[in-house]
Amino acid sequence: MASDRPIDVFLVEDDPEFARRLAAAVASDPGFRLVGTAATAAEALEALEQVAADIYLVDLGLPDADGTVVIAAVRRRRPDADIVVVTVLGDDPHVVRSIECGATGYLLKDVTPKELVARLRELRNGGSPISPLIARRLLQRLRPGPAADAEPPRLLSPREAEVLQLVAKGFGFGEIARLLGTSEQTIPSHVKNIYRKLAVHSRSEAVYEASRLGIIRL
Amino acid sequence: MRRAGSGSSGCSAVPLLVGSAAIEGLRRRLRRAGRALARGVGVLAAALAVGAAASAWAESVEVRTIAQAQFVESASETLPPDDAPWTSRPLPDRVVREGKAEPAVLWYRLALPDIGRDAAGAPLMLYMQRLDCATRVFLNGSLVTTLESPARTSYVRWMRPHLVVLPEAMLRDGGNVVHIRGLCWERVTGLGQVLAGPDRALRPVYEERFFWQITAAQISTVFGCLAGGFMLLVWWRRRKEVEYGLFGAAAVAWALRSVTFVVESVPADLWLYWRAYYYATTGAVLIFLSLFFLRLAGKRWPRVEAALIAYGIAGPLALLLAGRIVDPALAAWWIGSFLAIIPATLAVLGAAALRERRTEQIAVVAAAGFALALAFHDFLLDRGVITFGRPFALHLGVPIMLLAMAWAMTNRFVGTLAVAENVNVELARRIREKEAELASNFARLAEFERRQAVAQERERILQDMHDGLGSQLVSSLSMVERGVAGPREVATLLRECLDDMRLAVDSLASEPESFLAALGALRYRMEPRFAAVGVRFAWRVPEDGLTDTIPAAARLQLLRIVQESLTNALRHADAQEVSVAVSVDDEAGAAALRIRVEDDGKGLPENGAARAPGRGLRNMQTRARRIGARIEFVRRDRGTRIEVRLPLAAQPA
Repeated sequence: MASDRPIDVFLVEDDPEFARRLAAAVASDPGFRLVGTAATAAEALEALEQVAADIYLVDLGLPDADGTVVIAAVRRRRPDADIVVVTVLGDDPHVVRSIECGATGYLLKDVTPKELVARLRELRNGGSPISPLIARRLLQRLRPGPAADAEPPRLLSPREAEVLQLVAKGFGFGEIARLLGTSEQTIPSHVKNIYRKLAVHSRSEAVYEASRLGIIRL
Repeated sequence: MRRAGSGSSGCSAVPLLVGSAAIEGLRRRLRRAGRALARGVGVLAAALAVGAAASAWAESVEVRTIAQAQFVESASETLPPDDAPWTSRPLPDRVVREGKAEPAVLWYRLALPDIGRDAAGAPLMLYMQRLDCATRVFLNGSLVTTLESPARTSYVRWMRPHLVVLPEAMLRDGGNVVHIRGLCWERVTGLGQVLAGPDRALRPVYEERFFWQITAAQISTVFGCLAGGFMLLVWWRRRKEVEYGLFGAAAVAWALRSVTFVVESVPADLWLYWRAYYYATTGAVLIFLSLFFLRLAGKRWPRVEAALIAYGIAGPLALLLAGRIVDPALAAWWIGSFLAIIPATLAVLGAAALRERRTEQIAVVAAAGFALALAFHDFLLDRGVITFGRPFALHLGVPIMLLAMAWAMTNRFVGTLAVAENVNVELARRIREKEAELASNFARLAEFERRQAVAQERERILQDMHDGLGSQLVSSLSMVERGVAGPREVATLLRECLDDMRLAVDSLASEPESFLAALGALRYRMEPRFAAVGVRFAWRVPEDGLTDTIPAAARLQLLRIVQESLTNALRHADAQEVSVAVSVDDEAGAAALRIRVEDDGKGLPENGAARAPGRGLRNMQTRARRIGARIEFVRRDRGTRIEVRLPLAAQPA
């Protein structure tokens, strides 16, 4: 990551108050640059063609469409960008749905400006936030069988599965690194990989479903 | 059946007399048919006719029938002299010895017609269709052959025909005389048809007769054993189906009876028993048959059945008790009476067949009627109404009847199987119905339970909004209105509201293991705040996670207690490390969830929780009480320990 170049941020958010807060937070740090905002999904999709950003912050509750539409479009158009869902509650159903569409992180809307830039920097350095409930939900997603905890999900590497299981039990990254005998820095990248795999997995499943139902032709 | 010249007559009754080649072929075919005796009624009926037809043909070519004989009854070992009381008799000749215990010695004298010498030098033969006696044959006064010793120690009853060689050297030109001496035990005896001719002409006649009288009886025996044995096995496994047993018994008895046709010579002192055996097996066949007919007709007349069985036993018993003196009467009346009993029981079956039109009944009636006709034929033969020497026929008809009965019983057997299959199908259908019913009941029940759960959950969330977020917003509002709270305080208050809401949302995850994750999510949210003031966090949870279900109502309260504890530690403790330990312990024989929050800070105020607890501690106590948990606040040397214990026993999932 070129540290001399500021990180470009694009915001998709219909709530002007939060938009203003976020703009202020990003502006307060010289390492970031806000390159554009959109208040609707249509605007966001249009801007996506003209403006490239490193990080897209997307609210799920847009007036004209679900935020996941924007997330999926960004993932297609800008595969290297990080996509962050902004959510009030950080509840696992919303977040996991976004991850499946291609999001690599999430932010709570009440986050302080200081925390916000810290999180975005972490994200750009290869980490992804993950709460225990989200980890649990991901484990269930990847293992749709009844014996949810009997075997590690095949999609993930054994190490990734271990990380996910420990997160789901409430352990922090530092504790997990100690338990697995690795450095703390490697854990966030595992999480990010898990997110990526889940997104790819979900899309290929979606394609399979769609072809099965005759919606698309392979 | 006429003889010479009938080859061109095109006799409509026996159209088989057309040419010798055709007849040879036919006979081969018939012999094959005979080997497979059980094949059918038509073949047998035709074969009976042809047996006679063949001899007529043999006669017509180069065979001479000896139609006349002289007869005398004389115990003489040597030829009776010419002046003995010879009487002239036409052949076949039937002799009845009424009421005599001793065997009779019969002499027949035959004038051999001049049939010339065979060009190929083949020997001249004498064919005797039937001769029930121990016999010697003389040609021109010299002994030619002995058919079984004429000693009085052997009882002989030939069922087979005889073919005797008349040696060339002993033949004279201008008239030959044959003497036949027979030692006869049978009540009805005599000499059947006698033919003279070359071997190649008489051998087929002999073989034909031999087949129908001896081989057929053997086949009949074997067939009866197999069919009867099988049916008895079926009955053995299904005692209630008496018809199988009766049929099997009849078939086996028939087989045993047929033995008397095959064994032609027994020691004379065993004759009585042999005869009794004949009566017993014959009676058994007929009684079992009549019982079978009644049962197949669906009649159960215990008295009639008992009477029939008693009557069947009476015949052989009478012979054994009274001796051979009653034999003629038994032969005439006891055997003869079955010619009434069998038709009577068959008529009962016939009436049932007409009424119910069941094919098995009709088939048995038809076959039994045929066999009955043959039996009547044999009876008439025995009584001398039919020409002496005609073959006995019943042993040909009975296998046919047995076949029909076997078919009927198989029909019934298959029908039973079909019924069983139908029952299975019906059963499967009913089970499916019940399953569907059960499934719909279950679905209704599940729907009911789901609705109830939704209602309970709604109530719980309402209660929670009331106690948690609602009251928090109210107190925040009042602080803002009173002007007590500055922007920082308001932000803190609102953030607490949000935390509370997230806690409520997290507590909604309902899988057993998710409680730990929800607790983890609380820690995950709070950890940055601890980190901001330099407090370490220790997390101690079971290796395998939590497998016990924490009741829905308890989850949120526990989360709140932990949140409150952590908040207290963060705000007041001035600690360096905070630890959360979760475990499931055995407490008085039941599982209990234990959550312990410890800090190494300042500790609780002196007087502890009991007297002047903070509002937070009181809240925690209230929450614990509400879910039936115990909570302890412990002042340690350094810091505070808050421990909650929730019994998990008898909590359904």
